[in-house]
Amino acid sequence: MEKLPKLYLSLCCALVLFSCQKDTNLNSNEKRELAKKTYKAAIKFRQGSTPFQNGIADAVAIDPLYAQGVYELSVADLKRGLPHKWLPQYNKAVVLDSVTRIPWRGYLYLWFYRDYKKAIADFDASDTLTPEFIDAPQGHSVDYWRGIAYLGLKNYEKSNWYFEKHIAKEIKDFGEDYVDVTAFLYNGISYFEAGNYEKALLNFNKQLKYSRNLSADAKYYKAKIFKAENKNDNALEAINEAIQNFNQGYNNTRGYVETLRQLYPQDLTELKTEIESL
Amino acid sequence: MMKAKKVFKIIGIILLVVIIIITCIVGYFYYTYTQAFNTENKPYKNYIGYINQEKALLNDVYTLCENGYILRTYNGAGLDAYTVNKKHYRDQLNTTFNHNEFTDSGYLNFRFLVNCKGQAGWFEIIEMNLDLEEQPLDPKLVDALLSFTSKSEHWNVLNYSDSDKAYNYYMYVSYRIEYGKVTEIIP
Repeated sequence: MEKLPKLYLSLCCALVLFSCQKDTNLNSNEKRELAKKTYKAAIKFRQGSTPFQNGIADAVAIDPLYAQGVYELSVADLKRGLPHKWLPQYNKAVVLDSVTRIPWRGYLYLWFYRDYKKAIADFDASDTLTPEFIDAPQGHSVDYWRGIAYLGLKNYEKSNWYFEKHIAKEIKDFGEDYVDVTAFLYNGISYFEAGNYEKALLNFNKQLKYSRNLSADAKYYKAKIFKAENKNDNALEAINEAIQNFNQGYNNTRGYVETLRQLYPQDLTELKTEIESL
Repeated sequence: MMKAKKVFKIIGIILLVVIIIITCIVGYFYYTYTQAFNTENKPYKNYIGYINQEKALLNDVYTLCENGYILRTYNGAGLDAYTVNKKHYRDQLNTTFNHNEFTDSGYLNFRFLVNCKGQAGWFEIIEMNLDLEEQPLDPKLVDALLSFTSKSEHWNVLNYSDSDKAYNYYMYVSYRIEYGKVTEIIP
């Protein structure tokens, strides 16, 4: 019997351990910590599910200035085709953390809405926000993204200007083999569209050099250049290799959405038929 | 004898305490897990992208397969959904739609379900201006694109990766429209 008080004490300790903590009367640091903890518990659930969204909404209710939570509430709407709900929520995160969220919004305008002008406006704004460094939302510099956005707008001169700037900086900082091969690809496409076949070929060859000579895209555009230059044998060889690489899965794509200038089997067979009829 | 009794008593108490603690821990996690799914007094009543099948357009043409379970709700079926591929879809749209004389600009989004037979229905429509704000578009333009998008011939039957069995899936298509012409199709 004399052990019972100890038992009760242990139980009380256990209850205290699992008791709820009220978030009133917390200072701003404590609120942020609690919001982060609530957020971490919520993101264990599937993105966009009710426990995920409601849990993050709780975190934001605890600390309305918690930018990561405010941002994350918008993401599922973006991925699932509800732009009218995505943008107002996303813009709340822009107010809290414009340095991160403005170039990132440019990236989202570029790929999820194909609004090249709005994307460029956000990338340009990031130059002013952080003049001392070049932002890199989603792993690529804003110069790289501007190169793509200007290609989308068919402004090939500006597209090439930004890709050249991006590539030169990557080479200076890390070396040519560090440059993402798609920078060479898109730079090449813009030169191709502008009629500068020499520089286009240079870029497509660079892309092939750094991707083990495996790229349906680079070879497709090379075939187009050879065709334009009346080098029909080279063109046929290039398109055949392009088809082979495509069938092996070596073509440019991206997650969630179609990429810019994505190739399809019809593009390849149409070009092959054109070359064969010459 | 007394000593053995005392030892048993101690072991009994320890076991009891351990059982109570384990029950508390399991109960705590069970409670927090189920509470996390409780949407009472919470802002989000359904998962993001949920389509209310009672209210959706074209909800009585086809039926969902099996128990109505819907896959690909994370971001829609994307490029997997287009019959043949997206280029084919784009080409079809350009031949059937883009000759029409509309003048509106904006985004027109369709969110819908495709059943295991590749039949599309249960449509929700979002009409927006180019700033992604909700704003009505020309009803004839919306009708024309709804009629095109809801044709089941455009949508693939999608199978579970490890079997020949097909599933119901969620899909969204977004049209960027400039001066009445579709200039971009997303995803």
